[in-house]
Amino acid sequence: MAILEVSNLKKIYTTRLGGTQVQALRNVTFSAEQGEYVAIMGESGSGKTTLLNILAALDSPTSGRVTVDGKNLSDLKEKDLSAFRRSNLGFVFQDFNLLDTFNLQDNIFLPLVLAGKTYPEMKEKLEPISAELGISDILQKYPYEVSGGQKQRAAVARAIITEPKLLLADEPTGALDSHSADDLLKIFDKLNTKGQTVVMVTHSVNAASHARRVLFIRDGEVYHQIYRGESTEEEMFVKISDTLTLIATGGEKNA
Amino acid sequence: MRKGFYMKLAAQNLSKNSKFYIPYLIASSMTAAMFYIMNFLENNPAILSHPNQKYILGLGRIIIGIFAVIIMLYINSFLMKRRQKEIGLYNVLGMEKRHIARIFGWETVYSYLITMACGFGGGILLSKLFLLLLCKLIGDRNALSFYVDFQGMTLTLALFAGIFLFLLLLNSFKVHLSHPVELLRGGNVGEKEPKANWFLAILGLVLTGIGYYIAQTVSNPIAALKYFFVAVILVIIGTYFLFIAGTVALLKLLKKNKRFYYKTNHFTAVSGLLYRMKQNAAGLASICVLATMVIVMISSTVSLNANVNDIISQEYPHDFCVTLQMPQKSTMPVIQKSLKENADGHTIRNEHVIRYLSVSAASAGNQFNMPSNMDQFFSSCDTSLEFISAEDYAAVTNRALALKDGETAVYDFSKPALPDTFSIFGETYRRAATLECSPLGKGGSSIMNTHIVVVKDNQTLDKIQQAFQKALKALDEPRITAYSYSYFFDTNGTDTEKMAFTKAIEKSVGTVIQSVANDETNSHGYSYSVANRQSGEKDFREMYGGLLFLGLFLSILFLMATVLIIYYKQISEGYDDAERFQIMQKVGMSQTEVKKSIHSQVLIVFFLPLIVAVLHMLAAFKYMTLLLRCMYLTNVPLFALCTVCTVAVFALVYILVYLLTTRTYYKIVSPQGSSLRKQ
Repeated sequence: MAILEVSNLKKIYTTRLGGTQVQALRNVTFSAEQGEYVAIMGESGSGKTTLLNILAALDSPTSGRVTVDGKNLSDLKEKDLSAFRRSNLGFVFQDFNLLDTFNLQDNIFLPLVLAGKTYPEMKEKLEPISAELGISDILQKYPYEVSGGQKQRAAVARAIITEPKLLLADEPTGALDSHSADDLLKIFDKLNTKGQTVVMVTHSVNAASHARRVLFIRDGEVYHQIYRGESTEEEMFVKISDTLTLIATGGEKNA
Repeated sequence: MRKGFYMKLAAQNLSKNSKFYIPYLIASSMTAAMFYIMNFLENNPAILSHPNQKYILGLGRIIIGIFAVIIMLYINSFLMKRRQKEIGLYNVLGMEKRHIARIFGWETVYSYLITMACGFGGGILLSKLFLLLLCKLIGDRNALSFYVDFQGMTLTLALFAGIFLFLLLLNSFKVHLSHPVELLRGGNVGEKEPKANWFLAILGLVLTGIGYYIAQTVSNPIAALKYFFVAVILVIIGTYFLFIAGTVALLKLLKKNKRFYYKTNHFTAVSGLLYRMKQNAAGLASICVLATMVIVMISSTVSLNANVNDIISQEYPHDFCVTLQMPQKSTMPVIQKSLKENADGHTIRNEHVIRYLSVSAASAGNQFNMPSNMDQFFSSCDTSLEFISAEDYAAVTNRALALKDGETAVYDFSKPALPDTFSIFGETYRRAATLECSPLGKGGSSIMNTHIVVVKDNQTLDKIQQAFQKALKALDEPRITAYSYSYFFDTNGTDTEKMAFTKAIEKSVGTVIQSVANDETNSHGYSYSVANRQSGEKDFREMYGGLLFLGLFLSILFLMATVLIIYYKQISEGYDDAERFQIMQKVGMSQTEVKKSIHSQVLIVFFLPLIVAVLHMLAAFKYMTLLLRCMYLTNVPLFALCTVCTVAVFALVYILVYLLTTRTYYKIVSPQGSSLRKQ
């Protein structure tokens, strides 16, 4: 069953003083199955972030449809939308988006507090997650006191503590050193093997090579996709690199 | 680099940062204008004839000068914080620090020129208006000429040159000490969560508490005057500590309570407020102190002015009062006769002649006696008692006192007050009532403790006089035992006619005294005074009008500072909140929820100073009534009314400022703007 369905998505930005129109997404159609791990790749400006923002219901498409777990996002009202986002979607961002005013534990609790959970309930949920992510010792620290990798792990904890149907990651390794990036990707792998659906936007070949499927978008359209199948990460890495080279040198579209 | 490059860059910077610089320049121009106007008024020939005014205005000038320095420092620190990134960029792009200092230099020159141009423009235009207002308030109807006060101008130029130069040096020095990368990161360096400083919080509570305690327990005007500055300074320092440490400590306590803290409404509010308090506590405390000052100044000066008529009728029950100190018994009738002969068309009516006895004595506990020998007379006499009979008191004040044998009613000019029972030359009296004002006009001796004692009747008065005479005789000193007389009367006619008549009275009284003195061998003690209500009224109006003017003038200044602090606070919070706003939305808060949460925080932060200011005013109310009593204001309901009105008007202005600045704030954090921004 497809947990995420995107069909004919189109997004046009109009500059504030009228006039110029920028087409960020031309026509995007794809879907992700329950338990899938999808990476979306593309150059800067290819519309990746716009796509993710629309998937996250932070932005609305000009036309087209996004369905998460059978619910059409554009049917939801603003008020229900945030509740829906809170209980069905988890986010990991490139720049962590942790609140400086909270320590890590409170940052992780934030979505639960918004959902009206009590402190013992939250504590109970946090314990296994923080142990798994290796942040149990630093929960009382503040974001500016810990490393980028630790921040990102806290952000992952925040994203999965609500047990979301879909984990959305926007360039999650973008601000991390290679070691921390590998750690994080391993965490994603682990989450995925436990059944977590992951959709990740990235332009890191390394990050994308962890996914089961990679979509390439260019100029606002899904240009190409490849499946990992039975290949190892290294083989996938090579496949992706080859595809990127092909795209960059203007190769023909193939399915 | 090309000539004029820095000049151009500096000009560009000012216009690019106009959101910060326009309020800054308005503030500096207004302060300069007000400083100039104060100088103009102080040097104005129309004011020269009122020495009291010159003193009050001089005081105002100093306050404005000090205030100018503080407010400019405050805004400058804000501006520099906001511009760190820009300065860091220059640095990274290859500008040396001395080049940046040169840009600062030009910016300062522009700011100075604009400030001076606008300041003098506004100052010169408004100076006439303020002069008219001042003259109206102090009741001076002299024709006024318009001119430019060059001396004041020079002083203003110099003061602001000094301030701007100081800021330039300060900023250059700060940039010199910093690293470009630090600057680039600017305000984004993760700010540590503030620690609760319990010591300061408790100290703040204690200081404010002591201040409040003094305000509640002081029971008389003299002590109120004495402790005024102590109480004010305690409360000011206490307020700062409470805002800076107290609020943080309180929020920390709330945070520790997990059941309270982990609630949707409280979660973001408590942590958000913690940070707001850290950044704005000093600013909020300043707003609070300024607001309190404005409320106190306006309410007290307005009520003083509203009360002038009452004071006049209390202090001057009659148009005229001629007082002779210890004359021959026959002198007063001679003066009365002479005045009537020289009345020159004025009808003298409502005449009352009262007599009183001035007794100098040495105090020992509640005993008042003569010193044992004459050599010690002046060194040991510390108390002056003015005795008057209840009949005379009633005649002159139209207020009857029902006193029994041995009972007195007392007015204390100075402290210590006369004890409840006291004995004079061996005779004991009881203090049965305290008078609100002196029946003999204002003023007391500054060297001796002076009390006015109303006794039951003329017989009692005579008895005291005899005892006094006896005591003096024992010292072989027959003089200074005579009664003094005050002659009160009204006349018909206008104020101008009455003023003219005062001159005639002075002249004829002078002549009579002269002739009587020539008759006698013993002429000492023949001093006299002529008081009239009109000139007294003029004095009062001048004094209170001047105070009201200063109150209004400084309130404008303080209000401007309040508005500025609020404006800059809103802007700086807006930039910080914009980011938080975005994150919270991403984590699953709806726009309305985020808006509600932020709105409630802004509201709390905004209205906290006003609430505390009103609390301060409530605590100070009793104290203020005592202080105002020193200025002859005893009408407490009037003062209460003025206070309530002042608070209401101030709150209204405050809310207006809130609404205006909140628009800027929401423009900065507006979700439309932020969701389009690339992450």
